[in-house]
Amino acid sequence: MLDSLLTAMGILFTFSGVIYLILGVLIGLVFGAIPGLGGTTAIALLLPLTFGLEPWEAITMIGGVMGATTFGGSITAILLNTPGVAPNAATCFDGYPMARQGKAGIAIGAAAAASTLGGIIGVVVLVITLPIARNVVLMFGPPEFFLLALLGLTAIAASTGGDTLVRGLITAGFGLLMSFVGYDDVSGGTRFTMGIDYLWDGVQLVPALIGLFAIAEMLNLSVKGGKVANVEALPINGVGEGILSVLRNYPTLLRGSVIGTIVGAIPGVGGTVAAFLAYSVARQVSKEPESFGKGNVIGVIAPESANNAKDGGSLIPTLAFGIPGSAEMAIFLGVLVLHGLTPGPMLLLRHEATIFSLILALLASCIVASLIGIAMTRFLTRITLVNVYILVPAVISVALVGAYALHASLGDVVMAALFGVIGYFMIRFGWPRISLVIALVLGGLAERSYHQAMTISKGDPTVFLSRTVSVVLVILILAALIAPYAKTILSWTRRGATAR
Amino acid sequence: MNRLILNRQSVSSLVVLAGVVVMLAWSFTYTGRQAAFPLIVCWLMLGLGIIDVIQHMLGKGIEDDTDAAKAMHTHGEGAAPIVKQVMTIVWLAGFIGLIYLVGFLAAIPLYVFAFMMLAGRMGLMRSALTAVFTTAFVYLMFIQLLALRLDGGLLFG
Repeated sequence: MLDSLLTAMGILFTFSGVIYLILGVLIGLVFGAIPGLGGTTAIALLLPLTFGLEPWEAITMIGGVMGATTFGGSITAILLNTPGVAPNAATCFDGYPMARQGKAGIAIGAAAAASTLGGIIGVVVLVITLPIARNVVLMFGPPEFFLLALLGLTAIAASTGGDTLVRGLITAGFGLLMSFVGYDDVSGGTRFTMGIDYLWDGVQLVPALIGLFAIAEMLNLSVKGGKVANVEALPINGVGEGILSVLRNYPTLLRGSVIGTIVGAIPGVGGTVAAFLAYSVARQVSKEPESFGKGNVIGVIAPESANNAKDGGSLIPTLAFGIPGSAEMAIFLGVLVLHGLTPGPMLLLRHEATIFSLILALLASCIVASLIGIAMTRFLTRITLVNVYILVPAVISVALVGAYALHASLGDVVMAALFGVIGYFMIRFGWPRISLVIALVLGGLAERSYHQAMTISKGDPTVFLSRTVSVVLVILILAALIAPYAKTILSWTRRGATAR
Repeated sequence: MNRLILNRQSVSSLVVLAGVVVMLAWSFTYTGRQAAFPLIVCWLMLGLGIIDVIQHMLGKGIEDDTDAAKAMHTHGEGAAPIVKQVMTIVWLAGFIGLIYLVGFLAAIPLYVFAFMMLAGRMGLMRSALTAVFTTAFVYLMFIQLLALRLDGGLLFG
């Protein structure tokens, strides 16, 4: 492990390593600041551009994007009351009132320091957890991998919100069906190809991701029209005081970071829940809960620390099991595939140095993003005032060339556009895209593991309950399915009690 | 008795349910191991699809009004003019057609310029500059840096 860490450090601290990191951070900040884009779109667009890079270069750049996106979004959340990405919405509650009171600099300083320290705590937990996770992975056989894929899907569907649990599961089903398109290794035939030769290789992940995220978001912005954000930025001063306020409120920082890391490690739950949970916990334990929402700096520190800490947490299932915890992680798995690194348990065993490159890049990006972010604050707020009719054709053009770049295939371009339209309608009608993407990624693993398990057991389905690990996984799947309903029943009970 | 609700959400549920039925019927055309997993998935989806239709047509969906749920837009976007939505997709389809006809390097400036002028009603200079800048970015990034040979289309290929 130490060897891998030293190798990764040697890689990162080269001239090109630093350049790719800074490039990733800049892209992450800009995409994070522009509402509707975010890290997922940034990585989807960058994915084909990393084609000509070495795996570690690509991973370093993507690590930079991941670490920087949330801070980019928090700057616009504070100054414009416009969260760049959904997890930054919690920062608006107190960040924007602070800006209105002339304390924008304090809020940005607090957000920067909380993001950096939260990110570092998340990465430290990841580094501690990975060796343990590696041993856990070795206990897994085909039945467990099938159940793990199922757990990933149900947890993600459940986490998309109570109203969309059923819809999350349905889109996961469509994602699975899409992953079955093409040549089938098990039976040796083709499925769902409609006689189209292009589909023999299946639904290509990269064009699908570019379509579902980059193009779909652009279509949505295009329909909305106008400027991305419609308010003017407020003045900035007192950044240093904001940084010190994080150190003064270290219990909030630690609590937020722990919440972020734990929530991040649960597949599908993601940054938004982590940020809001950290915010509401901070409010609950505060001696002055009435000051929240009116410009309390703790209301900025809590969600920002959770926001960045979740990156380290969400890498745990992604790297250890090949189960992406979020759409961003699913696309990150696409980057790994593109560079010949097969996601899944063996990744951790065979490519430890590459994984440490990512971890170090993530760690460094947390620090670099805050420094560059503070310096670029004015520019980032101006960028959100760009007219969408400039942004949309430019991003769609680059996205489609990116989709073409991988296999020099016009079929990929059509596929990306098709997924773009599908993704757009999913946004409009509230069908979660994340479960479709995760299912598309996990479909192959799920089906292969299912058939392997059934072959090993000679068709006996009890193989899925024959070991302790399997039973634990089945319980977790059931819990993921029941959780949204339990949450609703609990809130009904509370409302009933309040009414009485 | 509850009245049936027919709105954007319930219509989308019905469309998806129809899609599930098509996929189920399609899965039946396969046999043995080829069909096993798709059939399991489709049957589950059919059950869930029916629940979703009932939830949205009777207005019995589980409400998640938490701030986090709102921030994640789990209830979808608000209504938008249908003509604008159709035109957005037509622009994309037109761009794909243009790529097929004249290739990327000619299609990109044409699309960016036309989209900004006609859909965005933006100035001539701004549209032209953005078109040139986008094409230059694609040329430098993909052709010069990644040594990619972009498709020239039916006319220039």
